Amino acid sequence: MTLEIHLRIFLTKRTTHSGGRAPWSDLPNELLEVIACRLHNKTDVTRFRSVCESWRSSILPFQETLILPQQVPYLGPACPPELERPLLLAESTVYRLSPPPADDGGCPMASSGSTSWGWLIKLNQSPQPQPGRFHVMNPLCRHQFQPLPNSFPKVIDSLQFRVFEMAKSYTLQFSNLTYCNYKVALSPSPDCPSLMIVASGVLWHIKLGHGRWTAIDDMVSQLSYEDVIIYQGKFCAVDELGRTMLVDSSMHIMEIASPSPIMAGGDKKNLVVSNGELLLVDAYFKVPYFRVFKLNVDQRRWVEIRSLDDQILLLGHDCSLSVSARDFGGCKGNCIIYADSSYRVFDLDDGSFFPVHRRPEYARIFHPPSTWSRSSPGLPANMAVFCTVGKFCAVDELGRTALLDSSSLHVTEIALSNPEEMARCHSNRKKKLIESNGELPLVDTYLFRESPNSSARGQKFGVFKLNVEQNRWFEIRSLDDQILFLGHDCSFADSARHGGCKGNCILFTDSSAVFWCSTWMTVAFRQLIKTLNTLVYFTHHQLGLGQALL
Amino acid sequence: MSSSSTTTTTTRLLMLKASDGVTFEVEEAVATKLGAINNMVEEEGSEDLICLPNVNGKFLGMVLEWCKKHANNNTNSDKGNDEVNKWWDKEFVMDLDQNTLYHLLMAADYLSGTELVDLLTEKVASMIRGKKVEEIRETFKIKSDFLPGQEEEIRKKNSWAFE
Repeated sequence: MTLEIHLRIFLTKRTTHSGGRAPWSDLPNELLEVIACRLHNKTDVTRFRSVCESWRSSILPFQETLILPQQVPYLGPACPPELERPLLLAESTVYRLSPPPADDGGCPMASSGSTSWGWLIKLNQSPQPQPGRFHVMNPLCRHQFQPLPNSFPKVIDSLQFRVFEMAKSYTLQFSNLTYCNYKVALSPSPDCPSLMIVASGVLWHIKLGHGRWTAIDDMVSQLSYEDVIIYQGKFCAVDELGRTMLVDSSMHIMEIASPSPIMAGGDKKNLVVSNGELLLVDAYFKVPYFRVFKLNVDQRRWVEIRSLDDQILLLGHDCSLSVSARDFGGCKGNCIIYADSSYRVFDLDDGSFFPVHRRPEYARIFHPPSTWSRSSPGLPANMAVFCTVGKFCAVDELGRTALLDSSSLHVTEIALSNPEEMARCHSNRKKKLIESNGELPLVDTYLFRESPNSSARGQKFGVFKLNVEQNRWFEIRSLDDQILFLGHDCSFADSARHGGCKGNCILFTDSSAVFWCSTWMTVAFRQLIKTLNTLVYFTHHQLGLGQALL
Repeated sequence: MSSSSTTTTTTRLLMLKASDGVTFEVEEAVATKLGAINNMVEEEGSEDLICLPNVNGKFLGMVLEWCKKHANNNTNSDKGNDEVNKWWDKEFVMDLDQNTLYHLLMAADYLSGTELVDLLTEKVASMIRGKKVEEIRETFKIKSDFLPGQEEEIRKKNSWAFE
């Protein structure tokens, strides 16, 4: 056929023959509109409008399809009517940010070879009085990070990052601002926006704006609902036996998976949409263990799967999501990250568990630059405080170390006091906690007089590593390739590789703000650094710290 | 069975002539995937040579390649074929450079190939999503024509201030 011949001709020329310049800024308005319609979130639409004049004028600014009411009627334990104050509804957005390219001119100390790590940040935009202000939320919990560490940037210019909206989460709070332990899903349909929640096993529904709470009573799963999300524009709820329903806006219920005895074992069922597919994660808390199921639509049942391939599932209290390991540097996929007393990773490949802070590649998913290793001021002077993922970690002068949940203030002791090791007879001592390679080393500073006649003081360091099993600090002799930076207000660790210098040393400031570099137990050389405070504002993977210092 | 495909009384061939004189002989069922051609055929009846002065032969060829694939697969519309079509579409737009994409989109729009416009605008959108403004400009070779003050204003509006 002629067509075949012609096609062959053009196919061979496809890459070489071009049709002249492509003036994208002159694209007809109606095509620009169609393209913009395919951008579904505020970030992308705003960026589209920031490209050039003609693109900007082709479409209106992003319109929130739905202005959320800030309050919904009370739902909770029975109490006198005067205490039944409305619940506060809040929306947060989980973003994935990719750092700016290393050649960013804005950061004079940026190293050329920095790795591009994506990180997740969950923000809650304050409804009022200032619409441009954001709260930084704990990515896997309902709570706000407050106060933010001093080092946290006050403003992020979001145009400097690639920004992807990954998920939205919704929470309800009682009028005294404690969070309701409800899983909340919002259907943003413009004609009938509504909420569906799971509260103590009961599925409740309310039309936003002018409605009251109605229990969804289908006579089957009445008190055993465990999760609700939005899937394919409908509410999707699951009960303790894996029975799964889609509920549309007219409250029509359709069962998409029947209950199954193999699903009866788990403690908490979580629904997650991963690459457009509906997954169910069954969590066993005591073992602990996770099983993952995929919905077989035709057979209306859940089928267990062994691999998530490249995906990492994040199970949060208020929202769960699936991310691609590719987008987070050196992470391996096929695992589940969940919030227990701290963030933990469950590896589906071998069923192993480890705390997120043990593996820097996973910890970094949640690390806004430089935030997490800043100590917080205002705590007792004999305590070093360190903020790890979602937790404060504090140590006293005898080495007793505790994790504090920032929301519940629940204290977990992770190391017992150890007077023999930790309280040697030196005159002045100070303990500092540092995160290094995902481990938690403790640096003990001994200050002592070099000779009885001299006023000069020598300085000595002991470095300890936490043994989680034994709840003890053990002294270690080598930091390998790590360099520890001890500041008055913040301490952190970095790999010597990044700056081409030798590892196994400690950099610290003394009282006169002189910056010292000490190899193990001996002061090797000293160097004045005036800008210690500016350094800590940058994350170590954005900076070649070693280079900056030497 | 295959009754629908054998009853094609319209195995008629159309000649399409591009702006650069390149002509394509195409089955009517293929060409009428394009709204513009469909209209011409319906209005003008048995006109066999259709001139398309706004479309270059290279891009007309590509548009017809797409039509042919989709016309063929429409004759037997089972689920598997849907998958094949999707896969084929994915391949079709995969390696398009921005230049080709632009002209193809303009051609598809001119010829009212609605489904193809959908496919191509989705491709454009996918090249925009998540990207920084500078990256979008670079991708599509667009120069910013905002005034400096305007640029600053836009930047301020895109900042996240934390409490």
